[in-house]
Amino acid sequence: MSSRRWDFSLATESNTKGGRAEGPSSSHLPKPPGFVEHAEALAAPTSATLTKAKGDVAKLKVKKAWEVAFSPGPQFAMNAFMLWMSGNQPNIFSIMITSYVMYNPIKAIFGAGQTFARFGDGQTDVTLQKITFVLLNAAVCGFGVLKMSWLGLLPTEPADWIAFYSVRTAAETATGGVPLGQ
Amino acid sequence: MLRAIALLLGALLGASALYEDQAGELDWYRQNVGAVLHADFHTAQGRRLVFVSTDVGMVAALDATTGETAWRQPLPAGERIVAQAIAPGAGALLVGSLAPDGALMARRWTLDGDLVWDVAVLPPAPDAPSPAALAFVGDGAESVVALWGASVTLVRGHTGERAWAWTHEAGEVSASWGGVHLTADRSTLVVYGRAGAGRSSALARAELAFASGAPASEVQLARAPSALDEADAAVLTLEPRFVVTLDAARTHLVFQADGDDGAHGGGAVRTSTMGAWSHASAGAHARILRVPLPGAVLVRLGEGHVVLVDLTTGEPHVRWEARAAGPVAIGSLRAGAQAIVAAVYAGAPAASLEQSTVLVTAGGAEVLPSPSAVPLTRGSYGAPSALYLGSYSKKDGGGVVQIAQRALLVTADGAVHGLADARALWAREEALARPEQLEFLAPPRARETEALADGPQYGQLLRAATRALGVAGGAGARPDGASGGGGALFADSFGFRKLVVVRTASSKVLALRADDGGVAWSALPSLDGQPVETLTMVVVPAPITHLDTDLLLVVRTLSQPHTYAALTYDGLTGELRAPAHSLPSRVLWSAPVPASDAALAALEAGARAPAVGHALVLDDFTVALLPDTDATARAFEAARTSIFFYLLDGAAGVIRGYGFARSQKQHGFRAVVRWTYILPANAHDLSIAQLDSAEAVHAPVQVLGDRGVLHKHLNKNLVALGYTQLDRAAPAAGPSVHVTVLDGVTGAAVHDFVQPRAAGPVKLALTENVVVAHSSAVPSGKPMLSLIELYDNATEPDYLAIMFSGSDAAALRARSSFEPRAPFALSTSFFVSAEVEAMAFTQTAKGITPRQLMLALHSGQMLALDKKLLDTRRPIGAPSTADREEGLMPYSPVLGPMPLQLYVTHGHRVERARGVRCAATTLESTSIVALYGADLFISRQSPAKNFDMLAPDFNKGALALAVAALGVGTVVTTHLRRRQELNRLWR
Repeated sequence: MSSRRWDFSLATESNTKGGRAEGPSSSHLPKPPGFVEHAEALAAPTSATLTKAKGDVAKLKVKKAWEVAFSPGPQFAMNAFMLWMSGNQPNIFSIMITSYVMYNPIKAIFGAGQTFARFGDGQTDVTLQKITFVLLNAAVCGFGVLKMSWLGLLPTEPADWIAFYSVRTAAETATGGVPLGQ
Repeated sequence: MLRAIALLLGALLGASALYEDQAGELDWYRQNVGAVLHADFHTAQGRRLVFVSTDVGMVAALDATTGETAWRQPLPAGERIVAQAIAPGAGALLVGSLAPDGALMARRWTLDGDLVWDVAVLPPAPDAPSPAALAFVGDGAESVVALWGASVTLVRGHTGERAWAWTHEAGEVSASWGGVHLTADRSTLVVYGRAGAGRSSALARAELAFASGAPASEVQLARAPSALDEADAAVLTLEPRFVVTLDAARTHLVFQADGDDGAHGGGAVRTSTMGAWSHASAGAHARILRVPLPGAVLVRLGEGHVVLVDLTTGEPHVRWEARAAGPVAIGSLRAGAQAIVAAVYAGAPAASLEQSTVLVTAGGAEVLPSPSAVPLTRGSYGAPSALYLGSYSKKDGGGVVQIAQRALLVTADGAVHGLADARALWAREEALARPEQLEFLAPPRARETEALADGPQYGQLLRAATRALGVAGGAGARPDGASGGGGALFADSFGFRKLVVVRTASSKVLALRADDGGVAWSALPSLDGQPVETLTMVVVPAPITHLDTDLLLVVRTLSQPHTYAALTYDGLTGELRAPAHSLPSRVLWSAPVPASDAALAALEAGARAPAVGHALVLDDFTVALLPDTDATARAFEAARTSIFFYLLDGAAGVIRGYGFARSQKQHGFRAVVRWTYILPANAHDLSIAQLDSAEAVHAPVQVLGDRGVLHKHLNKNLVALGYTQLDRAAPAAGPSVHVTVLDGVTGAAVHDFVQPRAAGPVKLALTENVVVAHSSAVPSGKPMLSLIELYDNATEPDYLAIMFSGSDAAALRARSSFEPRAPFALSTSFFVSAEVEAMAFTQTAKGITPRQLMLALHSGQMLALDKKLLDTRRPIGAPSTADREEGLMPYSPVLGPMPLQLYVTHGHRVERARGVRCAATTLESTSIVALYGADLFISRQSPAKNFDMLAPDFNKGALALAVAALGVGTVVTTHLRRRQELNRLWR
């Protein structure tokens, strides 16, 4: 026994081939007032109109692509402020902020193709925007590396390599004997 | 309200608490008094005490029943005790000592150990003889008489004020006084001695007014028929009094009777040929024993022969004679006015003591029934060397009161034994009061427990299980405390369990447990039963960790001509490994011969351990191999080109380095000179120090604040020479202290440090690339520490190669001393607040933990100085950012005052401190530190706290509870989660 008490379906016979619609067929219902079933037939556009519309869309896409390409800039300003606030002492906050600042550009660089895919309709060239986007993110990332250096997190000094230093054993031994002449 | 006020006051008052190591948790302290030179028994307040003064300058009271120290007072360093007297009725103890400046110091103490007064008696002449005597005279110790050469000094007994002094000045016949007697009417002080020299020798007698010291008459000289012995003072017997001495040849007894009325009883000076008394021949060894007897003297003739000579019959004759097989020790006591008991203990060393007792009265001597032999079962003490007797009354079974004796016996090793009623009550290893060398021995690791004990957590579990099951021989087994110990001793997982081996001035070797100070074993080496002198003691590390460490002793007999031998002991049990190996001469240098890989493999496989090979360089620079086998010769041949040694000839001011070459003899090698370093002609106060060969070093570089590095000049063969030099061309500049650092292999001078306006003696300590030298500023005398740090001008390694290969290839090669290096040095000096007797750096397992410099102070305390305090790069002025980053403190010329926590000895004092030794443990954080002198203090030191061990007060219960709660929580939440998931699926 089904627990269902009642239901209402918008399914029609045409799209439910053998479906479970059990009520009366909706094809017999009157059309709403002002409804035109084939509107395209009323005003068919000209080719000029179509060309102009396509050109506007392409320009819009390029404009949007440039906006995306330059988007790391405003983000960097905010991140730079955060980096400045975190100081140059290696602590959990400065390291977290630096990691965040570096993680997002790297993620953006690797996702650049997907980011600009929405502009890729085969006619709009966004290569320059992509390059700009990658370069700007790389610059942000580079600044993060610089910040890591300021924090002393990069192995740029001899002291960073002491784990690889080892004490050399002595090839010879010399020990003292009994004191003489006393 | 009152409670609130009390709480408030309590909060305001300073709190004091013990450190845990003060409570003996981490450290222990052994207090010694030294070998007894003088002893007097006295019972006070029901406690039987024996008051002693010793060879290390201690005055002490020991409990005669238990041997415990009732009190102890050290005399200033350098004083040598020469006399002791007691006035029990007055509660006074008198001790005389010769100070380094030549004065005779007389000190009166109460019987509770409080100093009443001290007074200095100036020497009667610049070359005054060293024998001196102190005596109480008068009732209630009202006066003290000091006899020293020709001078007599009277000191007020209650105040220490010098009353008068009188010196017999008669040119060449100046007297040497040895006995004093106050007449019955207390008006005249009669002093006795000898005078003159050679054929003009005479027995001397002087009468002095007791009140003023004015001579009552001319000094009476009774010419002796022959020259008198000038080595010892004359002896004065009790009533009837005789003045007795020996002739210069020590073949005749020379004596003279003395009257009782203060007048010269005179009589002629008589002599008696001692050879007629005994089978033993008199001669150079003959001595009159300074035992006060009535009308009699005890004379030691030769080995084992002591005669009691009765002088009262007109012609001296022997009343009693001891002919013991072994050495003899003599003691005496006065029981009443006339009765004297003299006892002789004799016996073979370390076995038992035979006792013979003689009752001496004015009328004669009577040999009393001898009790049974006194057994000595603990340790190896050697022959008895001195005996001191004390009397007390006791009731026998029938209720008859008898006079009994208790005795203090000193054996050849310096040990002090308490004896009573033919029983050995106690023994004190007082040989430890004069340590010459201290070494740590690591017990072997048990094969069956090594794998488990590697991890501390498993080690703890194993120990707990061992304790719970009561299993002996596991990781916690140790010797049973008796000499020579029975059970096996294995290392613990933390490496705290070690043996501390001490070689003493009496040539005895004692092994103490480092965790509680108990004696694990002791040995007094001998050759064919003859006492020997131990010249050197070398620790021979076991070639593998499962075997015991050996001790190699080079000894020689005391008698001329010396016989030399090498003795090898098992360091853990004290058993002799093999018969003595005879040597033709003394040993200049010794070292173990590295075992071959095949031998190590055989040992690892469980082969019985052969004697570890050892190379000894003899006086003629030939090499003796132990054992002298082909295998040892092959092993030495394989290693000889990398083995070098050096000898410092302090008198010649030369240090020479040697290598080894083959000689024509089979298995023959000889040492050849490789280099010579000649010190300046006017160098003196030489001292030498070397790096600890077992020292572990972790980092070859010093990281700076700017994240640069300084490459340490690491060289295991560095030798530091310290000396004082006075520039003869500019003596006004004062002396200077030099520290020359050499390479022990090549003799190359690595660095020469000069501290102007300073003087030695220079004490040195080395670690890694650091040399610390202690000297004194001139003319202020303030103690100084000079610090020298050696670094290399090394090029940076190829970081890319390191990154890709994972290691610095150059660092994998062994470094030869013959490689060219360009070291440079940084140095600085600090004043310290206390004079330093010795110092050493802490050692840890891997050398990661920052080191501390352990200073043995003249005050008997040990101070731990962090290495960061001793840094040559401490900035002068405000520190830079990099300095702050590195933790460098601004330079201050004075180190101190130090926080009390840095004085690791806390309330203990190690008198006569002379050395510090440190040893690593398995725990990287912890080092074992020993400070030794007349006393011994051992503690664990953690310079960077116990970062690898839970604190003793860690709440293990809370941890267990938290773990249990987490477990329960995990189970409960897992159950709840499953239930929730099931419900979700059912929805």
